[in-house]
Amino acid sequence: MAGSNYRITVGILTVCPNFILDSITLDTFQGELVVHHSPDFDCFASIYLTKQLIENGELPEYYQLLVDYTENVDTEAE
Amino acid sequence: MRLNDDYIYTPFAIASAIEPLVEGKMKEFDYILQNLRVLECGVQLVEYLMTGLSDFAGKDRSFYNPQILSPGSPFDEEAVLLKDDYDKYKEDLKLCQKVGIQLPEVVNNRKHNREVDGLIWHKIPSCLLHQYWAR
Repeated sequence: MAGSNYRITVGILTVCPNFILDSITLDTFQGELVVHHSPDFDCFASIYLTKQLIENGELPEYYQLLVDYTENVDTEAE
Repeated sequence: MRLNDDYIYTPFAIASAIEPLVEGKMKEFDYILQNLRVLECGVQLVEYLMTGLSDFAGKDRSFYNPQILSPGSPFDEEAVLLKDDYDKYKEDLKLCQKVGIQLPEVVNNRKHNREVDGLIWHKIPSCLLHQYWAR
């Protein structure tokens, strides 16, 4: 949601999808996706949303539910 | 997130079980390939969950709906690992020392200490996800 102060990658992606969309030229994504060792739920969700942005050019339906859930479990897991 | 004994197979728990399952199956591979496999399985889990959401409406359309990962899902192996591991954790718990620990906390720009629950293991845990269960 615009204006939200997310502490998770998946939240930042939804606020700034252009991080990914701006790397798509002539229908080709040129970039490198880097995740940390022992990928966690936030990594899984971030790569999923990135794939959606690359393949469809937009975020999927119900993405906000994914962001809210990830924010909840990821921040409480700290 | 509080653990509910009647429903341990949350999406987050299933996601936490992916890594130990992959490590067990790919012992002969290096950690980079293991990490890659964990990531692939994790993304498949999120794809499955997101597709499943459309089967529900209203308040039931939620990652907290137990039916979103019902038995027969592609993640039954992770569910079995969770069940076994939680049983081990409950046994481990009998040998743990439960303590209160003072941790610093900042509320409204003021520092103070808050007592939180802590567990001290006097031996190596037999369960794999002890950090997850302890939360």
